[in-house]
Amino acid sequence: MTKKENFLKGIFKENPIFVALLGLCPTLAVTTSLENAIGMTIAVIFVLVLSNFIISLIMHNDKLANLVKPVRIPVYIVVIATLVTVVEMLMHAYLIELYNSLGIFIPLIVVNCIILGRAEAFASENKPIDSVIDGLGMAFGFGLAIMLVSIFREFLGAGVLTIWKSLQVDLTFIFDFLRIEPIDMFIKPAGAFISLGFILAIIIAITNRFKARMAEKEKEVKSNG
Amino acid sequence: MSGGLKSGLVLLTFGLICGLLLAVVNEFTVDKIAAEELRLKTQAIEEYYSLDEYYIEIEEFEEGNIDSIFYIKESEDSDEVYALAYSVSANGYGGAITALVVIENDLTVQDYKIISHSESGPGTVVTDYDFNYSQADSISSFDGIAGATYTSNAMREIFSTIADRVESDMGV
Repeated sequence: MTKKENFLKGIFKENPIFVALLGLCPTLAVTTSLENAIGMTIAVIFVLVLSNFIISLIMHNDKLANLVKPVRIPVYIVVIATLVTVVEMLMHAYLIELYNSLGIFIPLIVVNCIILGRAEAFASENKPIDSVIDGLGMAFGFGLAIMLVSIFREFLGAGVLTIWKSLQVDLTFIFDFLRIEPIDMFIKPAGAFISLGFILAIIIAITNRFKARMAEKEKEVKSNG
Repeated sequence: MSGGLKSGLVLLTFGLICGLLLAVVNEFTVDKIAAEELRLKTQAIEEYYSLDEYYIEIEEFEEGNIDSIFYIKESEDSDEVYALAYSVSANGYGGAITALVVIENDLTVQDYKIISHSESGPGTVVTDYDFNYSQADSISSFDGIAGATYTSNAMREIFSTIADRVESDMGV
């Protein structure tokens, strides 16, 4: 696998949210605004890349790997929890509004299946540089997915897109033009499930159509050749 | 050395290294966090009482669930208190909820803001919820959040702490 393929697989082929359906708790909870999704993405990039790198470094040293192997999962959790606590402290100190907005979901990154999953499935068996690229790809894939869900929810629920603090894109004119009000339900928990369901259905429909076309083309090539 | 002991030592070593790293980061961020929390509280008070016109005296507490009381006065020497702002914490469902409650000298509640919380599920509405706390010395009209008992209990505790002492703090 080339480095480019390694990076892109996290965004498309093995997207943690839309393909593997991992990390759905933060996906449903923090996507009430685009700003929250961006903040969560930054935190996940930091934790996922560094945890992959550190775990890969540990597991690539034969002596250390032999010592760690019997207790590797608790060791991974200790490393991930430390990185999450570092992010939490830095966010509390320098981005306090975002810290308050994300609330409990920052510490909950510790138990995010994507991070522990990549540590066990990829970082422990691959070189540090490949693990960093894998972490970046997965974190970007996660980030793009939650940003897409948050855009869908915030636009339909509030008619605006909050990019960062007071930087907002006001799209209420669309609702004014249609003479309807933003649908508050999309910001609420039920709206999170409905939005994710809609987006997943659209993505699966597009993927299936694409696969069917590819299969048809292959058939044509076979029958012609 | 037995395998179990070896594994325990490995975990202990990792724990110590990580603890050391966290201590270093904490050393760098602790003052900044305290300053940011104070800024957030002062900013909330400033929505009603501008620092250009009023003087704010801060009393901090080490024990109990009151973190600090902000006395809003005309000047540093003035004895007359225009308003009080309480920063009070109580345990909710996910952890501590800290609220800032601003009270005028006629004991009407000017406003209350959630400074920090770790609530999840129905409790997340705590930041915008109207708990119907309008008279500082009474919580009889308190209105909790449906489906979030722990969060509601924490908010009730915050308001009752204030109700118990507001008269003596205000000097009425």
